[in-house]
Amino acid sequence: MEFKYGYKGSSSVENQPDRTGLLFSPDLNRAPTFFRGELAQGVAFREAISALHDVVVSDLRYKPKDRSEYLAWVAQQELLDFADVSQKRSKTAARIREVSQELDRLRDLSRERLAPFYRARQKYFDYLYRRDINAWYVLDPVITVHPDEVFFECFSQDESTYARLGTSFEVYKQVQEFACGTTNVDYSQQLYDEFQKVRSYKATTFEVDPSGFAVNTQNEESYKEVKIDLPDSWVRGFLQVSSAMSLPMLSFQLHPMDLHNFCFVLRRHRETKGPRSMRYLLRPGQPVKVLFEPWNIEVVCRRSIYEGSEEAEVRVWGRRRLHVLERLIPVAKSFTVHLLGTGLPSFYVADLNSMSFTLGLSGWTANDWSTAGNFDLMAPRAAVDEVTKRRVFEGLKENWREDPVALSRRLGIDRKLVLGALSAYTQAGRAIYDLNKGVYRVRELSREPLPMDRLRFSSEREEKASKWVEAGAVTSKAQAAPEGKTRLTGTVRDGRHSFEASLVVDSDQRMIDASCDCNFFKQNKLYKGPCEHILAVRVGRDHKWSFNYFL
Amino acid sequence: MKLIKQVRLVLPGAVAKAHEVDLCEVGPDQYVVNYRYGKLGKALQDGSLTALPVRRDEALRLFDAEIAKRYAKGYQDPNAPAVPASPLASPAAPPATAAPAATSSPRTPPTASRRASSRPPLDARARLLFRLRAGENKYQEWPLDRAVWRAGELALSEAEPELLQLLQARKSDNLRKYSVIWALARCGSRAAVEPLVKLYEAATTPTFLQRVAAETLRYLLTDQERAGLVKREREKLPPQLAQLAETGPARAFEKALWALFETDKQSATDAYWTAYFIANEHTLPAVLRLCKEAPLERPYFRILRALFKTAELRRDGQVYGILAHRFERTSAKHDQRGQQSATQARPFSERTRNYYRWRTWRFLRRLGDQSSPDFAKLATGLLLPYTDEDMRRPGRFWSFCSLLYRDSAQHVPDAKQRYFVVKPGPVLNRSEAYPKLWDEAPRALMHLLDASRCEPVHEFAVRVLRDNPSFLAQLDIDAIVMLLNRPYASTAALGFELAKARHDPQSPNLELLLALALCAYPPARTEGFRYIEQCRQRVSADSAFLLQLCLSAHADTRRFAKDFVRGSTLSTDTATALVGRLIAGLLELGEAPDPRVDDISEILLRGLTMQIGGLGADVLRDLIGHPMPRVQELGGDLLLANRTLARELPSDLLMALLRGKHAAVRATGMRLLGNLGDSELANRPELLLALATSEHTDLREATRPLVVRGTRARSELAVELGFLLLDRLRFAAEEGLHSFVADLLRQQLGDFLRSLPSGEVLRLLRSRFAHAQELGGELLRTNVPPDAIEIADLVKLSDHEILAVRESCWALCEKNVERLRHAPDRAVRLLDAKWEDSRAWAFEFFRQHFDDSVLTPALLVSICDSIRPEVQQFGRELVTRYFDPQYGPEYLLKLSEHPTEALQLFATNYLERFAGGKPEQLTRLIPYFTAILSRVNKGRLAKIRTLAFLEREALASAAAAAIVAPLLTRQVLTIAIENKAALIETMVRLHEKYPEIPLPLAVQPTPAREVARGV
Repeated sequence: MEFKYGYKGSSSVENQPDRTGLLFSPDLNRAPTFFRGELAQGVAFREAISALHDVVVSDLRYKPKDRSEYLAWVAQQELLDFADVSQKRSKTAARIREVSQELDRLRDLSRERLAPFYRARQKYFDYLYRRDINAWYVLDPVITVHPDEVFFECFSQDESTYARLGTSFEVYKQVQEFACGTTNVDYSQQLYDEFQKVRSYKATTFEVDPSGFAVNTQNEESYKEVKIDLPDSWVRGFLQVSSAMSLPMLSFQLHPMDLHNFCFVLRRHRETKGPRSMRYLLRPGQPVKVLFEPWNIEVVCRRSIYEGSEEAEVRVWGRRRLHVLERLIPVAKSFTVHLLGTGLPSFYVADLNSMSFTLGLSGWTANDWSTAGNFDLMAPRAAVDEVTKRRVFEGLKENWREDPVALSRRLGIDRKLVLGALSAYTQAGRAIYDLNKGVYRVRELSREPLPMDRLRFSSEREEKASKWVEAGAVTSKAQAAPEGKTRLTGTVRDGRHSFEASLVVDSDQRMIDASCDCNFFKQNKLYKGPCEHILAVRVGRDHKWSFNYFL
Repeated sequence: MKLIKQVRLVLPGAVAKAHEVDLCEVGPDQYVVNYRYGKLGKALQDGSLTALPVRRDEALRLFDAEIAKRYAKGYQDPNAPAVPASPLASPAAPPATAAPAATSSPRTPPTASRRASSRPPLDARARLLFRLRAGENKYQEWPLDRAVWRAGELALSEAEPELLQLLQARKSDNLRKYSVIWALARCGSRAAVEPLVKLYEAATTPTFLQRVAAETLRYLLTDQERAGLVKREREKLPPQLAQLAETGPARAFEKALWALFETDKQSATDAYWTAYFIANEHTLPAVLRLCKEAPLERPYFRILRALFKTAELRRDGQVYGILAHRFERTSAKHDQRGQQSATQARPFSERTRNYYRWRTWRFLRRLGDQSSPDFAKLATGLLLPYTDEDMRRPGRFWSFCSLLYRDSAQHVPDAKQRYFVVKPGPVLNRSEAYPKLWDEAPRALMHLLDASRCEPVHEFAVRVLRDNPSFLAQLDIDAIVMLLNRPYASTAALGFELAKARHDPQSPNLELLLALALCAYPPARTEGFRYIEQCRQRVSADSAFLLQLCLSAHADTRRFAKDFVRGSTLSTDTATALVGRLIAGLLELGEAPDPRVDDISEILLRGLTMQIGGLGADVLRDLIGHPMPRVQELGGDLLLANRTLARELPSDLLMALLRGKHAAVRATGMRLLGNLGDSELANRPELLLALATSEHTDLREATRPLVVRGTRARSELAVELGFLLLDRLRFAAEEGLHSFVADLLRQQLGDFLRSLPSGEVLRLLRSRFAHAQELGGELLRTNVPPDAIEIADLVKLSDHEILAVRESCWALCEKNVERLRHAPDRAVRLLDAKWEDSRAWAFEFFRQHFDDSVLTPALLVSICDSIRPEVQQFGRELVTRYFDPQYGPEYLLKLSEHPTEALQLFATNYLERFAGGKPEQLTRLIPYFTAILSRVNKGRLAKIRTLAFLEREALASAAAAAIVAPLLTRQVLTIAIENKAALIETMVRLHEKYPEIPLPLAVQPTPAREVARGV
């Protein structure tokens, strides 16, 4: 999916010993959105926007080490060893030794002579990397101006972490002028570097530049066209995490030092084997306890009492993403945690007085086939007709943000219908649920509406699987297997045929093996991902479980 | 914090390391020993030997101990005199080892088996007739179909009644009928016509039978009847094709047939066969082209097979030979057995290929055995498609070798009869198969000599012809000229012998003389030159004859022509005609180098000097524009020889030569250019620009002396050319051009550059291209007055990507010290450059020229605010050096907001002195303390210092305790044992001193231990 932006110049920060000016260049192709104000809480804003930057550049996917050079050396060494062994007693062995010593010496010599060249080359590559660092970013953050707050949103490169920084108007000493709407802002590493110089003793002005809209800038030299080709999976991930926010969740508050302790455990230990999960143990009226696997370290959050009515245990993965919050620990008053369920997105909202930082984590860091078909967050939640949907959205647009109850009262539409319509717009990336204030907000992710039919499922197979589950054509059964794994077996009826599929899920809830008797599986095994029947068996099991939970 | 003492040590090595130890005073009799370490020149890591300040003597002890420890580890003082390192002994060269002598065993040649020289002709006609009469069910071991086929091969006319009977028999299937019709073509007579026509016209007869019947009828019908049959066949074609087949032209017929093939493969296949059946001058070319070019694959193979069989039946050597050659040359598409059918998916298998190769030779052999008159016709057809290209591996062609070398000792077939093993050595004697048949067909041999492009075929034909002196004696002059013109020495030698016999010195035949002088046989040429000399008068008037000699492919002939032209006095007309013809001949040549051009040049330049002086500019332009470099060069030489043109030297001709792709051509151009006078040169700056920006390095290099000459003749040229060149630097160009232009400006137009106004220099700096920027950078130092440049620009240029620009910028800054000192807030940005060398220079610059009179605390803090660790470190160095206690609290507050760990640690040094005993300062520093204490698994030293400071302050006053208590309450939740313990201890002490301050402490009395009772 290609996104196109046009900026007038670059965003910049002007730093003087006594003042700092933050100037963001908005996307000129979208409806004029601008804002001008002076920040009152400079340092907290600096920490929060730095955390947002950490999310923009974070990529925690597993990157295998390049071992090709070593393997080539091993292969060569094996030959040498073989020659050595086979001719140990002959004169040739001595000769080989002599020659290989000579060779080693020559190699050393060559290495020594070439060292300055390699060093210079590396330096040049480093220079190129630094010079083009902005090419490494995926999508410029989205900035939205509303009558009560300005917020930034971004999504990480590895398609797993969402962050939102909301700044209420109280953060600004004086708000001079603004126009509500959503736009992208030009963003770069230099900008991040300049943010680090924000201080409380310098007056910091914050500006989403309105001047670009005033004149036709199309042909000016400073006008900058940016085209970003984003994979569908990235956009799907963004929508999944942000639409998960509007689902009912388990919530509780944590003291900042609890987060400190979580990060402390993770900084002090390195896992070499699974499970790599965090287990939230929640008992009504008791302090929240968190168990870190596989070391089974229990952190008790003494001053954070769980106030829910039922006992619950929720496992979440991809916990190293929490390090993003480290910079916020000193400035945060408290953190609110929202859990959707095991293997589902989780949210951490940091309360920074009049700012709030929401960190949304998808179920796992990696979004590969092993987590495919886990849970369909994009499923329509209520049947609402087009006209009502549009009425609700137009109604929301009047005030830009509104509580769904107030909205239903104002529009005279049933609350359920309003909620259904709003969740549909959330899934389409045109609205967002604000966890901090509990309101829906208008936020158009892109200028053009997103192609939802392409985005709901990652493949046709997933779509089919979901249809079968909804039609009740899937029976599935779970069975414990050794080493904490679970084996799921099931039958999928497809017209006259019926397929037997089975899969094994490890202690981290990831699909590690699967089989089916359909043709697709026989031809491709798992090289092209699991077949629709395997997915159906997996979804079928989650389906029962999740619907018991939510409805 | 005040620096008391500092030592810097360096550990030399591949990567040098630095270690710095500081002794600082932080309060009255309170000292700290801090150190920094890391790679030399990089940002150093901070550390401290004293988590908390100590007394002076203790600090001194720690300081000295640390330095002693570093010396022990090999660190040195960089300012102490260095000990020269011993030069590395260069390793001795490895001893050269003789390679083991390769033992090669002489290859044993494969045992050659001599084959029977020829087969005795079969004499079995009577037996065959008997077999045919015996009918179907007898002689199981001799199938009737084979007997029928054999009857055809032997042209057994006695068998016709039996064959006709078999044709009409009800029992005969289509395959038998096919064999019978095929046999009837050889042994049939008028009697066979009627049944064949009946079969041909019957609607139920399959196509393949109809075809063979039609082909057989061709033989048996009278000429008139045959024309009717051909007409009938022609009308079966689609109307347009039928029309074209009758009237032509051949090209249109071929095109139409091909178009039909694209749309309807089946009818096109039929049409090709029909075209071959018609076989007139309009249809045959299309068939031959198909035979030569169609791949041996579906759908072509089917029709090729049909054509091959028909050619065999018709005894058509041309089509037969072309296809046989293709079967030999083309590799099989696959080696799968059993796929012999052309209708199957992949028709041309290894087995099919071998079958056709053997069949070709078998057919010829049987003709030969029967002494058939068709033998020579078909054998000639078979030999003609072979070329010299095929002769790289002559042994692989089975029928070719069988035909030419059946009786040769050098050619031996392999055991499986697939190819011949060829032993080295010439074939001297006649070794072909069926020599008698060849002797009877000398015209076929002449045809071979005329048309063949294959040396062994020529050698064979010459061998056979030499055995036929009576035939040779009858040959006319044209035939001898033909023999002499062949490119093969053996044929030419034969022609030479014949020509010698025919030559009459009294009335020489010029055609024969020319053929002798041009032929491929050297002795014949030498003799030919002698004959020509004998009639010099007649030849020197014949420009066409001379032209042929000049254009000969043989160097000796051209040499003779050269000497002949120079040695004769040609009449003006002949000479002019010869020059015109030679130039026309040159212009017709292609791009590939041709040795003849050298000789022609010499003939023109040396032999025809009078005529070339008058050549027009157009002719020269054509020659210079010729694709062959040697011809272009000749054009240049002719221009040089042309007195009028050389003086005027038209620019377009000169540039055409100078733009030539080849160095020699350009050298000619440069020679012409060298003839230009200095003043002439000085008036042509565009010419010099074109040379300097040429794509050829040699031309560009040659421009340098010309520029020097030009500028010496006319000084304004430097400015004109200089601006033209500068302009060239602003546009993209191929690699190397910008660097040359910049260098030319530097070397040859230095004076111009030195007088370049500063506006132009700054314009150069704004260019997109590196060489322009570099040049601008160099000039920045000399041409731009120090005060002509804004400080903001200086800052920007100090961070430029090009080193020369940065260096010039540094030099400018050194001249601008006063201005920079007056705008220190802008000057400090010099420090934050992204280039290491620029930073290093800026550090030194600031150390030398800036002091506390200029650098206010706000500026120092803003230096520390940089995100680069090196700059932060430099900032800390400056802060420490110019520390003024008056601003202590300000430093502390401002630095405490820094987000990095190193600066947070640095700020702890000021806590004691500027926040101690000041509760209001403490309140403002609470975020700082929170930040330090909240760092996850980092900043141990800072945490220890902070906690110690907080405890001291809290115990000192109740007001401070009230401020500190909430912080302790927040942080005590940590699970880091070291910090938690320290926090709890502090809280307990606080609680003991100020029980009224709320703290989350619940003191539980220790339960009294029960007294152990004695037993």
